[in-house]
Amino acid sequence: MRKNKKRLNKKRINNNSLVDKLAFIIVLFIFSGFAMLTLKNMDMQTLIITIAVPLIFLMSTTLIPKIFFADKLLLSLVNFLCSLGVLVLYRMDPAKGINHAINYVVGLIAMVAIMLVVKNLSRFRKLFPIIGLFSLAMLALPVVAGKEIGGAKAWIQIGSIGFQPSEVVKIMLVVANAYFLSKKKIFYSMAFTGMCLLLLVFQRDLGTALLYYVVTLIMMFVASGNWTLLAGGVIGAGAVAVLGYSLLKRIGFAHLERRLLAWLNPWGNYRDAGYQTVQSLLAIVNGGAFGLGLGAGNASQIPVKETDFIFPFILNEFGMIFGVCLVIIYIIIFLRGIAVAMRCNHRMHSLMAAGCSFFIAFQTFVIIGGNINMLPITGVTLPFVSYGGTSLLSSMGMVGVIQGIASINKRHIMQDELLADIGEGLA
Amino acid sequence: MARENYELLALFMRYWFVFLMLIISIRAVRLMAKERHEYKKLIDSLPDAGLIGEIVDITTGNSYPLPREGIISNKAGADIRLIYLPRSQSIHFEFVPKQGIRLSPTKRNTNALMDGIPLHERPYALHGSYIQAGNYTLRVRLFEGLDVPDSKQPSLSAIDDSEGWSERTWDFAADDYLYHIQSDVHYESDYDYNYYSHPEYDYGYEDEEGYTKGFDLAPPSGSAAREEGDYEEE
Repeated sequence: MRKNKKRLNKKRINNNSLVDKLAFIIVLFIFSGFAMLTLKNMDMQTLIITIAVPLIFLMSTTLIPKIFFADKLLLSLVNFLCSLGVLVLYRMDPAKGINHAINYVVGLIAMVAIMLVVKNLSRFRKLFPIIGLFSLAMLALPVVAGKEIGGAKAWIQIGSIGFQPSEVVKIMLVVANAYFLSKKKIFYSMAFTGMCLLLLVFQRDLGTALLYYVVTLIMMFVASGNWTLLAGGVIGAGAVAVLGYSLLKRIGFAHLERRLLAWLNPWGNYRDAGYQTVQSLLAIVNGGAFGLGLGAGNASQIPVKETDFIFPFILNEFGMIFGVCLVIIYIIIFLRGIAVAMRCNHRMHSLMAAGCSFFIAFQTFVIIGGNINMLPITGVTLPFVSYGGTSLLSSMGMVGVIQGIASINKRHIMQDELLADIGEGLA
Repeated sequence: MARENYELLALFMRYWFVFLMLIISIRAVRLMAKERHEYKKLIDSLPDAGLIGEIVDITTGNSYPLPREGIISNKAGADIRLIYLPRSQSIHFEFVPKQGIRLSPTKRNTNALMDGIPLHERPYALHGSYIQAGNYTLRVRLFEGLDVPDSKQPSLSAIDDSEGWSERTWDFAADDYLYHIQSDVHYESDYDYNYYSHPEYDYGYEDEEGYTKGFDLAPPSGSAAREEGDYEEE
């Protein structure tokens, strides 16, 4: 038995060195990318960021798992996506690249803070109902004093700083739902999500409403294992979508019709509603299998390429093979999150990890689906990569939740090993 | 750098980036699979992983593995399922290090007790604590070495001397902690699990008349009990 444990410990060390090798390859990738941009721009700022971003990556990937027992593979991949975001955004517009790098560092700090909160979750038990109320208040803010961007009134502007409350509420939604569902209070969960959805409809932010709905439905299914509930939720959503479409476009949801037109027939409306989709598809096709090369692409015509349409931009410069690998990395992040959820000993932790994993996965699916015209465009961002401080912060926060729970799982396994050792001593 | 030269470099470097990305994704997939395999091995070597002890129904002798957190209820999805437990009596439990197992009712109209304390007061159960819910009398049995305070060991009469105790057929000594299994044995079923983890597996126990009995004489537990219709006799 002890031999077995020694062997397992040895393997864990081996695994750590394998993750280190993976981190080294990622650093090589990031460094090569920024080195190319340095050669292109030939300025000091690019040189500094060429050194800074790989350094941030290395420090966060090595230090955070050591101090906080975080999942190293998950952290490496998330850091890679953030660094890729900085690289691509810097190539588009250096100012946005630097902003994204700052957001990345802030996101890492937020991730660690959320990890610490999650690790001591029982101390914050009494705050959970308040979290629910606070998130409703946050969602009500843009309805009262919001700023309209892209058809949705989902932004709050305070001086020069703008943020999207619905992005922050994502984490709160997962925590509040996990709390209700772990106590088997499905009705409370339904009521809370229903109120959130209503406020999102008032904001005209239907993309985020879709995310909220699907993730809550999945969390309810995970908590109850009730197929009828899942089927009812899917059929109900379909019926509401069909009935609501004709009603909503009459009451100020004009962008909804444009997006549906762009999805159904982008080439027929390529000068108007379908322009974005057509440009996106052309960028992907022009890139081919290997892309046109970093800094040599021709996808600058895509509207909102920094946020919603960053995926076709990446495919244009790095190619479709790269795009497939990118999707694989998102799938791995999702599977790691689900593995963390399945290894939990606490129902609430499990639901939180599952909720956050599904949020990241479904958001990725929806935006990539929109980019390749598989789904209508919904106006959500590609997690970790797209430009946008609030979006990056909320995505990193969700990784923080998963990482916090992963570290709790590790602590539990260590306790189990200790108990087993005590048992062995007694036997 | 001149634009033409940069474009040439970019055209060459695109293969490098795709190559690196392929290596990153392949390595990530392999690492994930490897870690999963090793975790499975580790869990196989710790058959009690995730558990902190057991709950014993002292009326029937059935024992139920006690996870760190869960619900005691009559529903199929409950972590500890007691099929004759009234719906109002379902209990949520959660292990809190250094304090014990925090018990809380999931319904308001419960009258379940822990060592005589109503569950509305969110009491902490320790090793040897008694829980009364519906017609069930349960006793908590924790693993040796768990990070909890020493139990106060309440006497049975202090809890309830009116009914139920005369039917008691199985119990354990107050200082008789359970211990974590040290084995690479893979259990095929709940019945096997209970069989091997039971303290009487090794040495049997003495009944009231002084006869030593093996574990086979004790009532079966878990799914095996349900299959054999033990509950119907009640």
